[in-house]
Amino acid sequence: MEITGTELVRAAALLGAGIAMGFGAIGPGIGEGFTAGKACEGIARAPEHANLLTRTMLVGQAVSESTGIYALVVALLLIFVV
Amino acid sequence: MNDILNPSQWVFAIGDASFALNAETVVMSLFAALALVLLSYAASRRVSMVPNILQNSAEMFVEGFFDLTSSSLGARGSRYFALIATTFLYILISNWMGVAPYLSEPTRDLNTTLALALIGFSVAHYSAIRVKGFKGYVKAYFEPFFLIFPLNVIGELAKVVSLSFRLYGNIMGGAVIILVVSDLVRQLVLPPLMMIFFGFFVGTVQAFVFAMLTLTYISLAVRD
Amino acid sequence: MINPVHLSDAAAYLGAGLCMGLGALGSAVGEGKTAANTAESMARQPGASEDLLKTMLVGQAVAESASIFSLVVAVLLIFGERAGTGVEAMSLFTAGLCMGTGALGPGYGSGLAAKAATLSVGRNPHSHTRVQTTMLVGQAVAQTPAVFALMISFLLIFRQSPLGWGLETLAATLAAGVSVGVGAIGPAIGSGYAASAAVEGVAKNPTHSTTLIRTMLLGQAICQSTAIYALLVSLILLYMV
Repeated sequence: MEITGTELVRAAALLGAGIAMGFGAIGPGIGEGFTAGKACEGIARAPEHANLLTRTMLVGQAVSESTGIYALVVALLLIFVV
Repeated sequence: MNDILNPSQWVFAIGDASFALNAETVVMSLFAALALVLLSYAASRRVSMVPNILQNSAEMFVEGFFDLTSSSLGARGSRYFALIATTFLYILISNWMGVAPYLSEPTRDLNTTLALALIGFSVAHYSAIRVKGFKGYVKAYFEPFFLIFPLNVIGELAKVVSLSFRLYGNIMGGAVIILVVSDLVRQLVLPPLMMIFFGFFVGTVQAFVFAMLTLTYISLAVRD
Repeated sequence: MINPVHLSDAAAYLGAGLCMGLGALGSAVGEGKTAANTAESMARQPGASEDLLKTMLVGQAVAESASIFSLVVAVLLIFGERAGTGVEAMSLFTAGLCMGTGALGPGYGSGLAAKAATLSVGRNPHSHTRVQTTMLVGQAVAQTPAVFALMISFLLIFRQSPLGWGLETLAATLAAGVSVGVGAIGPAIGSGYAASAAVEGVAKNPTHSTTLIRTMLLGQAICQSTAIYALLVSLILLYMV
């Protein structure tokens, strides 16, 4: 079986897409879960501030989500553009 | 396996272009809507001071959701209450339909969940423009600094993707697992248990999560 | 020249081993922690030992489900029929890898929630029903990434493998499994942590359990969006490439 250079590049790009998204999902997942956990702890301690805590949690998660979105963008670029 | 992955389609040809409708999804989502209409009609038909079970549970539901929307949206809550509560009920009934024989979940089709997510997305952005004005709305994309603009746009689109795929993945995953495992155990004992878990439990949790996230995205969009 | 059926067999057995080996890891650690905490709480609160035992067993049963998923995939891989065509060998190996790595996080995450629940019942035995409900809801959501991994594994196992032997298809298949499998680790551990904090909060402040469950669900849902992106990428790799 003959493997051409373009095939090799394409295969590497696809494999790279999978690796990017797979490993890229680990960090944001753990981080956002930690945020959610801390928000729950805060609400258990000060239930009257539940709304403020939830909003802060959402904003914090949105920021830590961005690395996950970078991974998604890179994966999609590798699949469809490269 | 192939039934689930390649549902039957109605194909229309108009001129050169052809359109396909997923037959099962269309019928099942109409069925879900009809069930919702009948249920709310039955609950509100004979309203009395001493409520019957149906009226009582409907009142509890409405009150609970009204509290939820007004606690995160404040005075604007009543405007969005109907949307959030209907989204929840529609998804709930859709997810529960998989348990009944001969019926299937319309939410098993990505088209349904994507449409539901797009409704929430459009409402959130329309409300943001209404509340902040067009200038304020556009300006929010350039915060905290100018170069971040494309990432903010992708972030907004990613919300639609994650909202629709979360529901689709859970319902479709449940359906695939029930199908394969039922076949493995020759339809003994396990299938009803798995249907209860995936249909009622996961279905309810995911319907609530979908409605809550739609509410959250709206409340983040209209926040000053 | 190797017979393609033998190649498929070898790949399937390798995948089955990886699947069960990795898949047992997370649940085992999580359940072990749960048991350790139960013993500790029992020593502190011998009167609540029945509630503690029940909480432990329910929590461990749910944490176990990720490794049961792995077991199902491993059994399918070992006893399934193989045609030896196309990219079948790669699909079978990837199915095992995907479910194995995909079970790591959910098992450990659900174990974290169960651990927190036994600790909380030990601290506040009266709240045990609410603690158990919170734990179950949290664990069920933390299992979602394992459900995604199981779905992709089944799709890979029962795939009508394309006849072409292209390097591209091989790479796409492997990447689909790696994406959803490895991508399940983080979100599941994160969701498990959120669930454990919510469970502890419910024990501390049982009157606000609905607010806590709501915040937990919201936080978990957002924390899983990266697992959903991974599912999206792997579906694209399987069906659109």
